[in-house]
Amino acid sequence: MSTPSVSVNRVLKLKSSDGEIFEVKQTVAVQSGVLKQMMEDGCTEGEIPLNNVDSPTLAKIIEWCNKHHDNDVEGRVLSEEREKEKEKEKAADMKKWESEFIDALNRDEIYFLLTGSNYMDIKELLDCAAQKVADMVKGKTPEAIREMFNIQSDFTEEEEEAIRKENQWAFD
Amino acid sequence: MGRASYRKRSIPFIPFEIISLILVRVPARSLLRLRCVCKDWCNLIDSFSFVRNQVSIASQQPHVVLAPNNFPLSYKSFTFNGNVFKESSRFPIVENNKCLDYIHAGEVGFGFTCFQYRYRLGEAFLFNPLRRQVLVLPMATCIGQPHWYGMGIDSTINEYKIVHFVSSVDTDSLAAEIYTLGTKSPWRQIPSISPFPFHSPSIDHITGVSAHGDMHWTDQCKIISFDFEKEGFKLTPHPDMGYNPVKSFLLTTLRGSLAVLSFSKTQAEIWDSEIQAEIWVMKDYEKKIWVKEYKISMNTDHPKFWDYDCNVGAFSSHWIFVDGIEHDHKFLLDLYETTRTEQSIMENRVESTLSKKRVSLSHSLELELPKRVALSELTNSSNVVELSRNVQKQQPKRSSSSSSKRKYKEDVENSPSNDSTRESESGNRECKRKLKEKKENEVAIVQETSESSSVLQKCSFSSSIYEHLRSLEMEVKRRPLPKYMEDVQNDISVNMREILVDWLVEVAEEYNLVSDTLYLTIAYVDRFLSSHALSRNKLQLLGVGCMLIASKYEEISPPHVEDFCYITDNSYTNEEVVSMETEVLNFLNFEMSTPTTKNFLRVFIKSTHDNSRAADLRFEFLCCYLAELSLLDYGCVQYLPSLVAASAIFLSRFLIQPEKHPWSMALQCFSGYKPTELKDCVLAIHDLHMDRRISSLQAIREKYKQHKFKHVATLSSPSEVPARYFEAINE
Repeated sequence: MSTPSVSVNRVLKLKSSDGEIFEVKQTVAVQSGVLKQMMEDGCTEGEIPLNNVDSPTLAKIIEWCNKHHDNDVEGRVLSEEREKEKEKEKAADMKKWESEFIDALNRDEIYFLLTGSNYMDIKELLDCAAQKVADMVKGKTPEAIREMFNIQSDFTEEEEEAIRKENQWAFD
Repeated sequence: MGRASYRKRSIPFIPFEIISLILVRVPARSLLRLRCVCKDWCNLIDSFSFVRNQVSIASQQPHVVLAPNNFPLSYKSFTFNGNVFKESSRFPIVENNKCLDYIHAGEVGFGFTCFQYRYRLGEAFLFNPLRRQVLVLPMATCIGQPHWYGMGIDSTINEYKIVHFVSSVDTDSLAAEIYTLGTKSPWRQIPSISPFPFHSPSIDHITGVSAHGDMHWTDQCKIISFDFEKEGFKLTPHPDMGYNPVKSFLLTTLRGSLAVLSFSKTQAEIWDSEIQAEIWVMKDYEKKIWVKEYKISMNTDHPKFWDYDCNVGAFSSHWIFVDGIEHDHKFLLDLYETTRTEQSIMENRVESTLSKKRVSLSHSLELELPKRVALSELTNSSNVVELSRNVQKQQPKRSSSSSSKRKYKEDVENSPSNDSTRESESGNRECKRKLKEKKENEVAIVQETSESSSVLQKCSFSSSIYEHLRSLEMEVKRRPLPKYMEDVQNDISVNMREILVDWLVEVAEEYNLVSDTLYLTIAYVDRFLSSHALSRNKLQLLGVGCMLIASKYEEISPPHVEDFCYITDNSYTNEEVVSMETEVLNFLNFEMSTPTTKNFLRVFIKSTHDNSRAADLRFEFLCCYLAELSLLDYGCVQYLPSLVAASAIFLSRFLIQPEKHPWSMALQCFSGYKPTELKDCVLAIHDLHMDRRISSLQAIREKYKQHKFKHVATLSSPSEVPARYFEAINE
């Protein structure tokens, strides 16, 4: 895998769907599979348009990437033994930060974050956001879920009843 | 809904792939309620690939399922928060509690548990804990004690298989049989293995461990493993544990790998001695490399907890749970408290002695194992062809690809020139962006074509999907010229095209690309050659350029540009390949989607199944093989993909049942092709199969000689297809 053009000081210019420009260090941007691929192919000159991500979402995504990047750098500075000691603690801190980060968002913001991180291919963020939505889904009735995701049921009443019967225990 | 500070935004549409990511994280009880949200969700939750994703996610969760042996039989699920186990759900397994004999339970893999009656040999049922479904297995034909059950996925055909085997003490042999879930067929015996002494010290100890795709059992001396694809047993060497007398030897999985937990005592006296626990992990299953990851010393006053009939399970990557059945000793090891190293020597003490880490669970538990959640309905593993697209891909090891590299060189005499091509960065970026946008637009078509086969029977759209594909394939811009070699090219020949195709087949094999990629690649090559006269030393470059585009379009993890350069023995530079990619993309106007023979083949194969649910794999592989053969032949360029697919079906049916008319009215109605129209193409493919043309190029033949394709390339064939089969059929 060639990573010739990635250097600490170089900065990418990301343009959100509503035209705002964000500057991101290349070392941070590698967390995005799409940007990483572009860097490898050497086509990151100028502004990179991200047509599926608007500026509030992009700001959140960059906040996430910066945080995770900081954490990595910190780890590298530490000596080997201390790093081992800190490993568990750090993992816990990061978990805490992640949950605070994600809990501060409302549902629509999380939806935007999901589509944005999916578009930019940032796996960790996508997983985290998906977990959050999964927690929101948990325990809700099918009706509430349909409303939550704006889905029209295409089952007939009889069909739905049959499926409910199949998994009766889940409804008890 | 948004906050005031946010500009007004419309709620984004959440793509189905993200929905799937969310749903695999939803706990089972909630998930099953969601099956009635809509049809798409229901199909998703029931799908095979969904279950597999869920298994991989659930195995990271701290989750223990316990099956007690008291009555009424019930199943409890526990979650663990780092301190205590909390019962999260419980449900009875057998509701109408008839007078059951004492029952054994053992995990058989994928979260399923197999229950068997102690005194009624051969009878057993499978239990899916999360769907609370019970599947009664057919009466076993191999009867004896002790016996074991195991379950695994044959990834070549994506079916769950159950293996049941009996070890005979008298003859030192294993008798084994296989049952494929979702079929009505009975147990199928496989050749017995002899001599093969495998004697479990306890008939209560029936639990195997599923790891690395195989199922493993131990009898305290050795580990035997069952390969579900090859349907055979093999010995897995156990780790070399050195000097201490090992008291017990337990199998589990740790972080997805097979692991051994062994207990040995440091002094000869049983009482008041120090127990050493070692945890060995299988680092490389191919090469069978064991690594000792942990060594834990424990002071214990209890002599018996390391008995061989302990059950042991690991979960959440760092907890190991040990349960001594008869002595009610249960304890947890927290592996985070020991330092993990990759070396085999370490001396870390852990305080996790019995008193500190004891977990109080209810008594009379028979089985403690971390359950990996399996949600599949027991019978939902039927989709075969389209699921093969989900098979995991692996990048090949580079060292093994030299033969592919060399071959092309030998075949094509002229080594390619090294004229450097300039690479326009901005143009390249433009490509990337366009590519992404195009891809999004075209996803709809692809989904349609790949999904169409699975829902063909159920939905009424099949004929209109087929019509749509037919109309697309006939668009002039998607067609190569039938005589481009003669009309357009002046340097390359038919023979060079054959060599290129043959080599591309090898490349696709090397990088584990799906055959859709191969068809697309060759479609691009033919179209490009229909309008651009190319010099012979650029032909291979065109091949890899097209394959790069096709694999980006089709593959989940496409090879990199470097891989394609490498496979040409670095005949071309990265820049040359990328610039060829640009040229082809511009030529295609970024319309990369096009119906291929493979798309039609899927549709046809499904339609031939009609009412017989059981997929005939050999027939499917034969069709794929014959259709791929047609790629080799320049003469087949003139035929539409649908016609080639129909011909492959025709010929496959003929080869399997030569005495029966290979075409039917139903096929004719569905495909729109009469036998007379297929005749030329069928005969051409038949000649290819009979090796009457292009006999030097064997890549496709070699590929389909493999076991995973059921050796269809070795199928013998009548030398002629009777002419009467090409007459019009009047039924």
